Amino acid sequence: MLAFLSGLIAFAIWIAKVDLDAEYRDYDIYFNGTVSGLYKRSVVYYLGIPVGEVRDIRVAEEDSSKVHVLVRLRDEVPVTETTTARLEFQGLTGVAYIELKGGSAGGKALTPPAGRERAVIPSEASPLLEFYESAPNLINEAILAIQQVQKLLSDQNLQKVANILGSADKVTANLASGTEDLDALVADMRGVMAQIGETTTKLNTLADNGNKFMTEDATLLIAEAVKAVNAAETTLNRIDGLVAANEGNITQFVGTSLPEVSRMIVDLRRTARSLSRLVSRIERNPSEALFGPAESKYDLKTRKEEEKKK
Amino acid sequence: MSKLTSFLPKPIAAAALIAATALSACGPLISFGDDGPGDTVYSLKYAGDFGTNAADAPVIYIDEPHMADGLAGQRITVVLSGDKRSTLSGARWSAPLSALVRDYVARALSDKAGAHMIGEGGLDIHATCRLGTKVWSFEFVPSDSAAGDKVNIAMEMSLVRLADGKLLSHPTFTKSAPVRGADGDAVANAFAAAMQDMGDEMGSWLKAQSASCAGS
Repeated sequence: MLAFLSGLIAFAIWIAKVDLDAEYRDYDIYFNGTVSGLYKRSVVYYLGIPVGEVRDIRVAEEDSSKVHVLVRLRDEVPVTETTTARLEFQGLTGVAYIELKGGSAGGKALTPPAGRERAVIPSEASPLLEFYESAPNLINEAILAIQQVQKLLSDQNLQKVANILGSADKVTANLASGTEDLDALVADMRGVMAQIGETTTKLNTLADNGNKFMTEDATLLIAEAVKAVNAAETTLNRIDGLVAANEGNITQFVGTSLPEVSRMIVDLRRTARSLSRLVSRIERNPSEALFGPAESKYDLKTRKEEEKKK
Repeated sequence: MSKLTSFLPKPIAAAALIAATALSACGPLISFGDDGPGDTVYSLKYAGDFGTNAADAPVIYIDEPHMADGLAGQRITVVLSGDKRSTLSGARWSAPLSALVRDYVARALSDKAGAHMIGEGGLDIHATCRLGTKVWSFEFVPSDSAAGDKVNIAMEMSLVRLADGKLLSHPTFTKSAPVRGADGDAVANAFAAAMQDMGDEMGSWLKAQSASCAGS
């Protein structure tokens, strides 16, 4: 009985991760903006190792736009003047933690400023948080890109191209005038391409994350979005090359490249819709986006619906 | 307890016992998930030849199909009475249904209609026509008895000439096939049979349209 109880106590201490010999040091961290998902007792990591926990969270006394987080770290953690703290998230579950970076060996230890009880670890913005905050902007950018392409293909612009390329006089005798307008057209296209390129980069980041923790539908949506935007860039490159080389005439442009651009607009519209659906789905129910909805199953053997499982 | 307190101070012994009791009340600390059998996975492969390689064949870009409500994903949809929907237990598709349908239709049309069907990965190829697909149904429909079980497939096609945006043809194909058995294999076989019939019909349709999509 005594051996059993001793074992039980040892197990309880082990499972509770009680470290009787550990010494700790408290630090202050000030985050700009929200720390949604961070709670008291949230874990603080250094190089992926849990080294402490959050002791208190409150609005900063000096600046109400900042959040004051008090953390307690193990004494041996090398917190130096180069150490920074970043708010990170575990997947889409919204659970936040603090990751410490820097703190090279031999660096000067971080000390409390004059008149303060605890040292202050500088914070930096989380790229993931920035991305989620910018997700609606991403959709707006996609829509803006579509609008710009549509604007580019407006009746007025098409007429302009028709005037430039359709007129034998301008193509042959007055090429300089035509080239000037073409340059403006190319400049517009380049603006669209730059925007699409930027969007592609952000989408790729989302797609990489999606492969890890999203259901197949969400991952497909993202892959589709990336594909469409890449296609758009390819098409615009083709038009750019075509116009830069001054080849062809209005018939060629309308007959070959214009259909490609129309196809690109359809793809971009789908991209915007897909992204909108994806973001709505994540906002509405992150758990369902992660694990899929609870749904009934039809059993062929019993010829009945099974009970729904949560 | 008296023996325990002779080794440890009372507060520590009490705290340890409370911790152990609280811990045991939490239930299992680690769950390895459902112990049930995994799903049987079914594919949907076109059983005919691979497509044409003729240089003068029309080039048609085939869109990712739009799936009607409840058909996206890898679950096999079941239609019950009273507009109720469910999914087949213990079975699923090997990939999202839209991807399977697109690959099947691309291969079937390429084989039967002699056209270059440009699908996944062919976005930068200059195509003369674009084929849009809307999948309205792709469902298992059980009846009162196993003998009446069937699968239903309905697909709407939109063939558009890219040069002038003209809608060349806009048919809807529907097929049903009986389910001969009471397991996932029988359902998958019925879907394959229905798709084969539909592939033949689509091939004939597209072949009649191919002159409108001939390269310029």
